[in-house]
Amino acid sequence: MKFWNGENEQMVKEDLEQVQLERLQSTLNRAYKNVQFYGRQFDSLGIHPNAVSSVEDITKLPFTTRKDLGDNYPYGLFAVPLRDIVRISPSAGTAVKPVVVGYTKGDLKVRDTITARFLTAGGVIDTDIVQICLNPGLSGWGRALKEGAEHIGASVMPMSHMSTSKQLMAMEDYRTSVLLTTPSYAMHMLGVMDAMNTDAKRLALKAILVVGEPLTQETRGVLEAAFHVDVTAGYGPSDVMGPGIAFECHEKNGLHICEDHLLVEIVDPDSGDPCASGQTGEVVLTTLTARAFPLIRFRTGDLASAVAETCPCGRTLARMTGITGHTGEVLTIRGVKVHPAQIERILKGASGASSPRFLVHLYKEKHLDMIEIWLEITDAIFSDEVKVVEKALIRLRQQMFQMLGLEAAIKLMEASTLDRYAAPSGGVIDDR
Amino acid sequence: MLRLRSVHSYYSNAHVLKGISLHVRPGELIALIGANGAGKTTTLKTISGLVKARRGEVGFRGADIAGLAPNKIVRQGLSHVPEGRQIFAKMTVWANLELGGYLLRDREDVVQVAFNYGLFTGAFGLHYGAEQIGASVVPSSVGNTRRQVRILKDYRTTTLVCTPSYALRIAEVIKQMGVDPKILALKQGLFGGEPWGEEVRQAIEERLYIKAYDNYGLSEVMGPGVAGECPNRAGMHVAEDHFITEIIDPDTGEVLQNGTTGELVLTTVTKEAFPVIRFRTGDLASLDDSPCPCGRTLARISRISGRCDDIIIVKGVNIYPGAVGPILEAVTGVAPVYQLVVGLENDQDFLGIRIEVSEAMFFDKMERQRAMVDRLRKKVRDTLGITPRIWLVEAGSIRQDEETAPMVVDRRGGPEAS
Amino acid sequence: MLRIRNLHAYYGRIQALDSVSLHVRAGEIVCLIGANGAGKTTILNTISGLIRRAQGEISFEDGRINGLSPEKVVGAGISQVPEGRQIFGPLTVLENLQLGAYLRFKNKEKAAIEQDLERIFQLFPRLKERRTQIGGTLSGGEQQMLAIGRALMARPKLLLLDEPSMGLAPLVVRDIMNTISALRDSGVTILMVEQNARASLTISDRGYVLETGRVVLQGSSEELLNDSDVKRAYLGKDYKTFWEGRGPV
Repeated sequence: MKFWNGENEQMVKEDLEQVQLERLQSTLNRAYKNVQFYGRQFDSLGIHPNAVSSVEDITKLPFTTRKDLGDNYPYGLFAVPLRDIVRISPSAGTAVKPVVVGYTKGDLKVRDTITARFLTAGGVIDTDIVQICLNPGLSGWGRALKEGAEHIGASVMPMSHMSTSKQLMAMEDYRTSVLLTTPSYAMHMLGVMDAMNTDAKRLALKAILVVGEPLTQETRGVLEAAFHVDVTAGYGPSDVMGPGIAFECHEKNGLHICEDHLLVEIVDPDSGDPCASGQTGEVVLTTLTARAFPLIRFRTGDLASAVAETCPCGRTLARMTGITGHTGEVLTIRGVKVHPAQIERILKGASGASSPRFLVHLYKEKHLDMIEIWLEITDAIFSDEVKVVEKALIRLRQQMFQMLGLEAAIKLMEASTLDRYAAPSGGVIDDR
Repeated sequence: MLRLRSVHSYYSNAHVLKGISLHVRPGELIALIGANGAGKTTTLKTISGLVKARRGEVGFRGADIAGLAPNKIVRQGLSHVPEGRQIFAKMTVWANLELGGYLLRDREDVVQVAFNYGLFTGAFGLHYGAEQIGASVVPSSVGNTRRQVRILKDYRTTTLVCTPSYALRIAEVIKQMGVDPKILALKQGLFGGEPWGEEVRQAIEERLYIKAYDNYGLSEVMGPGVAGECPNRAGMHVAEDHFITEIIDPDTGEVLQNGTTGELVLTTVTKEAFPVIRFRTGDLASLDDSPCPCGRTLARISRISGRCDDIIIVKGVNIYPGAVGPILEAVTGVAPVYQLVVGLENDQDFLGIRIEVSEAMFFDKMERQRAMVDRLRKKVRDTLGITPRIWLVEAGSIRQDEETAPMVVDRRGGPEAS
Repeated sequence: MLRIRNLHAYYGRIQALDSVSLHVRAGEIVCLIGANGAGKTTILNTISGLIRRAQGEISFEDGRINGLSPEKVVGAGISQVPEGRQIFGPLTVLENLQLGAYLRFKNKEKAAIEQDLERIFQLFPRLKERRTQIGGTLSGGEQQMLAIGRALMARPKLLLLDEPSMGLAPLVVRDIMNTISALRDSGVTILMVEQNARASLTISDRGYVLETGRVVLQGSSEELLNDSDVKRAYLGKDYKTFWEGRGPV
């Protein structure tokens, strides 16, 4: 099957624009009326939703930032009463406060459709056996992918906490035909297969779809050659809206944006002005059909650029490049977005130190991102009893895992040794 | 065909039917009309035996059926389709949850699912069941209990879904964090995944100020929602339209009488992908098909009183003690002598493994020894899904009394016996 | 087929429509739902040229029709069946129908008109039976059929229906809705306004929900029928009625 929603994925530009305008206007009317935050923001700027009379007019509206999401924790941005919400997704978020996303039944259906488009474009069909291998920090996406694949009718092995060798064993035994994972984890699996002397020919795999991290052409090449499969990528901003709001088709040249459900703008991260086509800027998203959690000009912090040409695959949906970086200090570790301030907060909470001095060291081991926290020893942490220190370290590691879904190593450093590095405390040494 | 004469019925002290007389002839369709509370449903319940008539006659095909048990009345050819039939019509796999607690009468409910979302069916099953009802579901999964408590508080969770032991852990952390459980929006909990008793129920209810409901299910059959308690909490109603339930003698396989405890055997009658026929669950329970005041005619099983095989359940994970040996052997290279210790700490289950040190496992360097323990821990975690505590003990300390040394020491029941 | 962008309309100083955008594709039944005064009828009247003081863009088959006189709009292929039928009571059924072809009489399409009459009598056999009866003596449902038939005599590509079920008994509503479905199958595209949201969403492909002159929601009729807001506001079903009576707790 080539398209999941052939009609919507191949709309004539003019029709698409009309649909976008209608949906944008009603989204604005609902957000203005039902969400206090948007109502106040619009009023304070003297803007009324009726100021938007074309899709381009969206630039008249103010941005929404991650901070806004955090400030309205937990339910402040919901546009429907709680009784209409069927799912509440807690997301660690990269803001200081966590972000809570809500979905109505209808929203989940839309998400299933969008995810199904992504999976279909990557070659998934109803007879496939799909295996999902994602970091626990991406569990929201794990559910979205599972439901999207089930929507197509495929058999799904949901993500679970298994070792790589066990995942590989399952892949072989269950005759998995599609793997959903991050690019780095796919590379890691490859390494483990080599070590186990497992031949990819014994696998029934036919496609790998990756999310969470940018997919480089080099990685794609290695994976395709080693697994004898097609590798395609999907994009979604953090945990906010699902993993496949933009996705590659078999042309593997840019990601088609689900424009009938979302508007994507690329703006200059500093000035907020729209970027020219092809110029790299920050991805800004506006939902067109979300009922529970509408977002208006949400700044994702992801950097990408628009692809101008039409795609030979037949989809008329506009394309963007994969993510080439992030604004600000956000780090992507194994697909999970982390802000150094989050790490500081965890260290404060768990170590008892009021202003811990630390550096974040990132490196790769067997293709996997590794994170190491170099923490300066202070009296608050240090104790003569090794056991006490060890316990504190275990607690720290647990907190890191539970808050971020990442296994971090904690290294205690002598006071002042951190000064050797050029980075200030809280800084990042990225050796990836 | 059916004739009522001066029937009087009561709900405890409320006199609901005051001398009703009516009749239905064969082939007729008769409507009872009246406002809410007028007694229409009570009339039907009185006819089907769910409510006993205190006075008057209920005649059916010439026989007086007043006072007969509902199942006997059904056998005479009189069936009752209860109010709210959508419960049955729409009941899919996961919506069995509705049977479980009747907890989610209201779409305003915020349901926090603190089960592990993985290959286990528990979390997904209860999650989708609650969504189907239209409640708001927070998939908070497991771990970081302080975060769980914050979610409970901030999201105004009304319904907690987890294992009973984790509920106690949450109560403990609520206390530690200085949160007053009375200010929480929490009103009920649906607990399962491991056997638990009335003392635990009482403890949960006292500490969290909620009603705690038991439910039963198992991955092989359907996941959660095979059976669940109603508000009367005297046994769990089995979704009999989807499962056939038997209680058998675990040794002879003979089907036992209602009320007798034996092994629960389940047959699926609607499951398409993976039907099971007379699946021996290994769980011990008894069956009760007497009518329940809640109105459900579905038979009830007692709460699970134990296992009839040597499986132990730790944190909701089934473990065959004998299966642990090969896991250890894969790391150490020799078949070690070992013993499992199950206990409670902070109201949470833990699994300990005592392993006798042999030559093959002895290292000069502490570091290497520790590395091996780490490997053992990881291997067990990867295979069983539960992280154990590993204690290396001197050779002979378990073997000493090999004949009598039990493979499992379960200290969860109370003070240690030995 | 029909595309409206940013329509603003006023009754005196009251703004009746505030930046409404919508579209109808050929072969679709699209319905507008909303409370009284939400602006539904205003949209139809603006399209058909009855209200000409409006800003925005209305295009029909690639041509702009804003500001055209009602006759020109009919000539372009859009006919409206007004609310309350408004048939000519003293005239017979046949005369009423012939009036609908007024523009075409001028163009001397007599043979074609006869053909169309036959087609309409096929669609509404009741009208044929009563062709000589005085319009005012028909039942409500028959009057509605007559009003639709009259509009069809202009051979419209797009039919605008305003409250076709108003004041009709439930069984008659079902008849009218079936007729509208059949009309679409015969090639007429339909934009309808309805108070009876359930009936209209059941036969339509898509819908728009209006509130105080603004579109607050749009989607496939199936989505709207299942939408909690729509259910509460227009289908007369509060969630409580769904969940009451599910046994005691």
